[in-house]
Amino acid sequence: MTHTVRDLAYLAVLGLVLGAIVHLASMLAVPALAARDADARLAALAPRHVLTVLPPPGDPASNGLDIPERDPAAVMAVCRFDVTSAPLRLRAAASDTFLSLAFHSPGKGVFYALTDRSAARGQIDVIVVTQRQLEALQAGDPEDEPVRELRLLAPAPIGFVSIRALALEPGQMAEAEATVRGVQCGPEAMPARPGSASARPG
Amino acid sequence: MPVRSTPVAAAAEVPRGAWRVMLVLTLGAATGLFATWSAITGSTGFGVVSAGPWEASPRTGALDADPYMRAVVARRGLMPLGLGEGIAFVARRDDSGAPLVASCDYRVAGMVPQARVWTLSAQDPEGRPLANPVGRHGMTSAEVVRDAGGGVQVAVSREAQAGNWLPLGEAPHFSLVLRLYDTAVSGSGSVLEAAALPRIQRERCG
Repeated sequence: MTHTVRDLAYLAVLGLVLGAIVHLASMLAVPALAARDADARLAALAPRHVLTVLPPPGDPASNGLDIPERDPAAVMAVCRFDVTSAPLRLRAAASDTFLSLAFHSPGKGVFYALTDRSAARGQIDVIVVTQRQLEALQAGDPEDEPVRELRLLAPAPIGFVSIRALALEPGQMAEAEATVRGVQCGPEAMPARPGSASARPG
Repeated sequence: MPVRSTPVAAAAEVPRGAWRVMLVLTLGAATGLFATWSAITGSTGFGVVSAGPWEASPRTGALDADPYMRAVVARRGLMPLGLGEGIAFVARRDDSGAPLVASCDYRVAGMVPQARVWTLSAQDPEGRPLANPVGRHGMTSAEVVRDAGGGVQVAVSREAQAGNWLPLGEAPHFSLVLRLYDTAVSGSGSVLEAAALPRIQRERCG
């Protein structure tokens, strides 16, 4: 009898150890397997390299693909990107309206975020690059001039930028939307260099 | 199946051979996947910073979030605030620890940490704004009327109230979100001073 109990307990412990392994492995796999993460939801309405203003939170037109937990006072836009073949350039002018940018890498997190407070001379100028593109840019930098743009190394080629402008009073919604629409985003042409033009398929 | 050799063996029979493997695999898959499911459907993770009833997950706004937070962000399709933008505190309970219900009136009172801008809003458990007849879903630092000491008092209720009023909707449950933009509050510790954030007091229930 005690032998039976011990045997069952042994099987149970084995099962729980396996359970712990399954838990850890599936936990790590969730971001890769999540079919409805923010980038997938945005894909339905926002093409890559195009600034797209999101419908207000809770809008029935978003068909369950809404991004949850949004600030009702914020007008939001996104710019999805793929820097495999060319960097992404993002420019915005600082105004009286609160404006912030966050650079997301799906499954990894936010790799950079800034507000209009860090604008230099009223301008925000960001370029998102791969390691190879960064090296190409640095090779072409003039030596006696400081680099004015902010260069962000993307942890993965695919991602998106979220752009928020706040309407602090209900009457400022139009102004916030204009601020968001004033942000420019698009692929940046790289100066062609022999040997570096071979974009990897992907 | 083995021959039943003792009278009690029928009840406590030990599975043999392939059945043992099946038992272990089934138990492993069931417990492991159940643990994962509860972790990603629950709202709290390891890196949660709390201050009274308010909770924040600042690391979701960076690259060093733990796997639990990453999984929740991916599954729910969240677009969290970056650390450089600000921080969002969510309250699902009042000061006494009771869940927030829309049939009660609440008072959010106290000081709000230093920030260039802040907003206070109510959302349903899915994270959508609460539909209400007035069409107002939040309040901002620019709209709020402060008391003499610089503190704020916001009435959170279905029925209109004088002064700062945040309307609730038909949804029975809700949570409050306080977002601080361009703030020095980084939430790098695990506990913030509870007094740094406003209290949430339940008043009348209807």
